Amino acid sequence: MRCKRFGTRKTLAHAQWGVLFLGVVMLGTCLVLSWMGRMDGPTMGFYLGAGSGMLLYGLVMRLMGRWRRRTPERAEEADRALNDERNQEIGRRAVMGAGAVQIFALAAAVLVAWPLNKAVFWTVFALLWVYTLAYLGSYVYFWRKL
Amino acid sequence: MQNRIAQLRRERNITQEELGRAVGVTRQTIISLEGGRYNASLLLAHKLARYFGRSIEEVFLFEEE
Repeated sequence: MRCKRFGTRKTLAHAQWGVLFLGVVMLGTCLVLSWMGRMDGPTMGFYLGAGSGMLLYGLVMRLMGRWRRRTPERAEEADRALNDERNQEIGRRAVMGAGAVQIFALAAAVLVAWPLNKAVFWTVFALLWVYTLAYLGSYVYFWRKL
Repeated sequence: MQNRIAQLRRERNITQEELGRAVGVTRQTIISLEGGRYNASLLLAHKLARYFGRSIEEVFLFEEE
C-alpha cells in the first residue's frame, strides 16, 4: 500500500516564513510610505507595532521549533506530534470552522462598510473575491490531485 | 466503529505512549481511539493491525447500519 502524505513540517516552516515575510512587508511599507510623506502618526504606529510583532512572532516560532528539536528523541517526538493524523484532523476542522466564520464576517462587513466608507467597502469586497477565488483554485487543485 | 485496541494493548502489556510511538501517533490519539471518539485512517488502522499481528477486521469492528 502506498500512501501519500502532505509535508506538515514543511508547511509549518512555510507558515513561519510567511509570518516573517508579512512583518517585513509591513515594516517596509511603513518605511516607504513615511519616506513619501503619506503616513500619519497613528497609522505609522499601527504599521510599526504590527510589523514588529509579526517579525518577533515569526522569529520566536522559528527559535521554539529549533528548541523543540534539540535532541534526536525530542525531534522524533515533535515530528510525531506534527504528523499525528488526529492533530491534523483537528487542524483541518479548525481551519474549516474559522474559514466559515471569516466568510460570513466579511460578507457582513461588506454590508456595513457600503454606506460608511467606500474604500473599506472595496477592500473587504476584494478580500471576499480573494477568498472565493482561493477556494475555487484549491478545489480544482485537490480535485485533480486526490 | 468500535475497536479492540485497549484490549490488545493490555494483552501485550504496553502503555499508550509505547503503542503511539510504535505506530507514529501521539498518546492522545491512542486515548481517543480507545475511547471510540476518533476513527483511525486506513493507514493507521493498517499500522495498528500489523503491530498487533492481526487483520484490520480483528482490531476494528465495523458495524453495518
